[in-house]
Amino acid sequence: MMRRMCGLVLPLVVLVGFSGIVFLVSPLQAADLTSSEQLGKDGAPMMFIPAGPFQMGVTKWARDGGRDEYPSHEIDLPDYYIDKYEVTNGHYLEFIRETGHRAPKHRSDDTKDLWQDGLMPESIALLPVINVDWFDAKAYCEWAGKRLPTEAEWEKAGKGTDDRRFPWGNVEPTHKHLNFNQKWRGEKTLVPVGIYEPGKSPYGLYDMAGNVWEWVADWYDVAYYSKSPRVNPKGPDQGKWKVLRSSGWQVETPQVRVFTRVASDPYDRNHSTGFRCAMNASKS
Amino acid sequence: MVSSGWASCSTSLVMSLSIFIGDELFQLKLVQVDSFCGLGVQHKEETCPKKINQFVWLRDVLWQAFQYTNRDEVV
Repeated sequence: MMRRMCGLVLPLVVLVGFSGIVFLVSPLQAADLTSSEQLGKDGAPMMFIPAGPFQMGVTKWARDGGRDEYPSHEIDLPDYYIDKYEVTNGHYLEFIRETGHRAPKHRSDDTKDLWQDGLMPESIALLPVINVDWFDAKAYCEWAGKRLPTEAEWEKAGKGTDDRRFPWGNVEPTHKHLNFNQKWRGEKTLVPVGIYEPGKSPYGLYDMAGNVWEWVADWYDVAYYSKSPRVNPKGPDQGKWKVLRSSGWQVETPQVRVFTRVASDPYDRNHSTGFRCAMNASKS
Repeated sequence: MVSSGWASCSTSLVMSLSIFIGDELFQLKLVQVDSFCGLGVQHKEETCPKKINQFVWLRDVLWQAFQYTNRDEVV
């Protein structure tokens, strides 16, 4: 699986980490991109999501999920770009080297850390970064010339326009689609980003279910779907909690749904939450 | 946060409730229905309406209970 990823990414670039560790990262080259992709300033490929409507919230034919996932409602978005993969430790190390930003660290439990005393082991370079709070995620995206996706942008990128239940369609989740049903066992809990080919979203995004929960820009409001504007909603103006989307490595089969939303303390740094970034397609 | 979901396998329909407390996700498997329900996600509403109604009711009761909980203390 690692081999397949590396096959896309010649030549390798050697970086000296903030910690002094030498490691390898392998950014995509422009020639490797499809017509719907472009590279962000951090070297991470982004997928183009065309403007248009989609159905947000729990699927019309289902009644599960949380009450905050109702009602299903139509949302219209302008076009935008969003990261093809979750942000990796390797990319996050580049951010730390350039800015002096703090290293990922669990808020209270050292056994949940993958970085060691602020140093990034080479073995986790292609795993999604974890133990970052909402402010860390926002700072990374801004450093990369991007921003956190809105909740609506995240959901459209995850399920497309046909109101499906999972990023890959309506077939029940399996270990061919995503990383889930796991107990914490250190770095082996996570998988490198982008290895689940059958689990891709309609727009070609990887890991829109499983691996890690993902911070999005919006404040959380339990009733937001009942009052959300139809065009390009950006969430409540203020709040106490931020929204997490996707699902983490610990979820079991019934909880894997592309419309799942969870409220989280924006200051929380835990071992199942990471993020990806987005960017406007036009200058407006 | 209380969320619910169901999934099919060849012999059963599994329903579960999940509750986040802090960063720990508690997942409770509450109901297993036998094989006549296991036709796939899209058909659950048609094949198991009574069971699903009971489950939706339970999810909503728990949801309301959490809305009245001081989540700071829960966390």
